[in-house]
Amino acid sequence: MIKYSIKRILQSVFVLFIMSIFAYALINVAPGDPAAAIYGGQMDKLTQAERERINTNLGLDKPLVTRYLNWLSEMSNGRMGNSYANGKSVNRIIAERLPNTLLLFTVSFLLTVLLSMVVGLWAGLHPNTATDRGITITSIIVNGIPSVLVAIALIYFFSVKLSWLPSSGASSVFTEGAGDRIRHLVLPVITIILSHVGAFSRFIQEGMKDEMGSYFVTVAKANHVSQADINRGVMKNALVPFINYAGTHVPSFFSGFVVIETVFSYPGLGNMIVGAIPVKDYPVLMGGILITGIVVVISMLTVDIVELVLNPKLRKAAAK
Amino acid sequence: MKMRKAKKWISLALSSVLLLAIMAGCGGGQSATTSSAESTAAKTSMDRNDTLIYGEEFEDTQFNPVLGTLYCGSMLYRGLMKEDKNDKPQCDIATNVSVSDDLLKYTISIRKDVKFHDGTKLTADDVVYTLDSVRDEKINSSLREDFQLIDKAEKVDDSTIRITLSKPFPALLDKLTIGIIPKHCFEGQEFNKASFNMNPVGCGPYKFVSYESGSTLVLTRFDDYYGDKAKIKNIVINYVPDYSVRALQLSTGEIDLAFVEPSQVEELEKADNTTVYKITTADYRCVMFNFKATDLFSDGKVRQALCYATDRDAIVNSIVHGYGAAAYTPLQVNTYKNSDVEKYSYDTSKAASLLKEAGWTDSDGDGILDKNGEKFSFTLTAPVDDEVRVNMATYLSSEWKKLGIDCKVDTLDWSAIDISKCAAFVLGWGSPFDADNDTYRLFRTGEPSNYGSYSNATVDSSLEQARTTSDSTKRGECYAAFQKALADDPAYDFICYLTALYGASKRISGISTDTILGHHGAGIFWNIEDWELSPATSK
Repeated sequence: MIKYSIKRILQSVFVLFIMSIFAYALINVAPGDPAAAIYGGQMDKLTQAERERINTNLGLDKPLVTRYLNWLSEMSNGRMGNSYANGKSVNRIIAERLPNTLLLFTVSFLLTVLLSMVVGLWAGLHPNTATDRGITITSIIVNGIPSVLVAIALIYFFSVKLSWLPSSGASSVFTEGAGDRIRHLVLPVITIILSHVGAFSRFIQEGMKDEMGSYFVTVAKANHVSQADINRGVMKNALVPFINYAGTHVPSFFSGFVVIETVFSYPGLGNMIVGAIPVKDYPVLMGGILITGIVVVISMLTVDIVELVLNPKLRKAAAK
Repeated sequence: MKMRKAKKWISLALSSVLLLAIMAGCGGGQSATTSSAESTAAKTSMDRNDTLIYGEEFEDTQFNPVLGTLYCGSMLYRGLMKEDKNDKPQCDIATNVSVSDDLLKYTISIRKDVKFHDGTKLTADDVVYTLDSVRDEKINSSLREDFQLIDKAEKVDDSTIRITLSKPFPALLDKLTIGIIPKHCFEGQEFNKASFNMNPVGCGPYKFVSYESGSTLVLTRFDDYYGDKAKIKNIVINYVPDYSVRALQLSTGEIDLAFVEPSQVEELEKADNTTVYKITTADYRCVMFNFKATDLFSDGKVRQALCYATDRDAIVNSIVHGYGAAAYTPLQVNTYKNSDVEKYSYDTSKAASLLKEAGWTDSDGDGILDKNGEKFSFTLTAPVDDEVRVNMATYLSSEWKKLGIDCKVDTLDWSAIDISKCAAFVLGWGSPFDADNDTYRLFRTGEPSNYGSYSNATVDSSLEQARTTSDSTKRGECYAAFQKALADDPAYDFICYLTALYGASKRISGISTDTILGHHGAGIFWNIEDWELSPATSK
């Protein structure tokens, strides 16, 4: 298993390296330049001469490959450069933002998994009832609504109409503490859960149905194995592929944060990336993409290892 | 069997611990923890009743006044000069300004009682350092061009400096409102990357407390401020980029002040707790004609025709919902305004006959004018995130199409726009300050901000002459001649001036409504230390 893990880690590093090349090239190929970051709302005033001067100061007159290699060598020393907009070190910016995103991810991912297990297993155990069909239809509908709309609707009801919950930010200025943080998490977390829970619970539901119809269940029933024991076995079998399924959806949580964090002005990585794109703040953008990549890779690696532990078939395959 | 099961659960538990540990490890940035500890200390002492919360449209990405214009500039910083109610520069840190007869040497004495927020005294060294930095070509400042005509800034003694210009520059005193930065904060640091940029130390009425990027900036009153102390104790600036959210938060009382859109005025005025300040600005929108990118506009009659075919009143009434005024000169809200010029009132038949006179006819009957085989076809560019400009471009394009002009609209991201390469562009300019400010650099031949490469001998000579005298009658004559020449030979098709709309809680008093503001309502905080806040009634 250790050998397998090392192999997977090395693979991940390689994936991140390739990703960084693509990301760097893509960012730089897009039209525009970072002099805009410095001019902000005063773009009418940016003359061509000033644009060239600032871009030269930032080293953008050098060829793309040279710039990438510079970035890579800085990276290998653990430095992600400085923001073009304010000169602040990208390491510090990310250190401030990452905990917020991780908190949002951990809470929303765990709750999504738990909730979809409850809903999916329940529906799976009661096939062909009205509730089962109701859950199927609801999950398809919920899955189809864009999360932006869900977010706006939630803000409208809970912040504007009822003023129960804050509509933006991660903490308020006048109150501190865990309660305040939680209040700020509620709406974004609900939005994320709603955008994933439908598909997640459907997966479990389908898995349960497949298992229920499988040969071993028929055999067990014929041998008077109690329904509770059969259910336990079926649930276990349906959940193993679910772990893998949930794991492969970790990246989609992070890509969803780009939208959700922006709508809720939540100070995380997604919001940071969105802010850096229009002003071409390349170092911040690269840092954001890379750190998100690392977090995703670590999460998927963890899922793989968990799965390995739970699934003896895979363990045997890995040992070979 | 049991053993195996137990082992399985142990490994599962261990790997989840591992995952959490990684997450916690990533989160443990030292900087983040210290800053939040500091801000907690400050926050607990904050009272909502004594705190003004401003919902800002654009976020200051850094807080160094030398690197660029700041929205919170007049709170954190003060300069040698300060604009008054009428947008005229008055002494602030400066106590006296004497100008040599050739208008090239400014000797400025400064106050001796000015302290920075860290307690150090402001001296002539700091002033010279500020002026040297903003002109340094290695420093990524967006203000560098404003200070190009300063040849030398030097210290005479601890409380006197001398500025030498390479050419007379009447707008210099307006520029000297730039916030003074403390030299000692930059020792041993690279200016562009200095930690100061995110932990500012100014000498203004408010000092920096904390900042969380993408959300909140907290400022508190500086008790050692040399001038009249601020009346409101704390200022919180929340970044709320979405205008509908800003209006929402105004109505819920989450914020006290915000820049709002015309469509929201009615609702905010109806509410019990909010009001809307409608403030005149010097900020106008126009279509810039580019003489370098295309030959279409070289004939003045063609430009005049386009100006006649612009229904300014319709644009004011529909696109900006009546919150604006038809524009005809760049100095319309300036002391040197000349209203005795061609205003190009909407007249399509005049436009059509001017085009005909210029030789443009639809000879092949395809609905598009042509001349010597060339079609009258060009692209009008507008920045995509500026709704007003995009609407203006779309509207004008459809209006001009009726005259047989094929005007395509292209909306681009700002960072992808090079105005000097666009055949026509919906430009926004205007300064409430000295007349020279946004005229010389826009219309004088060869100036870098003259993106359309406009050139007119009378315009050049009047602008040049206006610089060489400080006599206001003479300057008035020069600017009158300039405006006349510009109207007859238009560089821009002036569309309209915008009215800045600020939604505000009725708790605030002291906002000056007759001070003309700049671009996007910039400058509303010019007298922030005089503002007052009555206690909140609820919450």
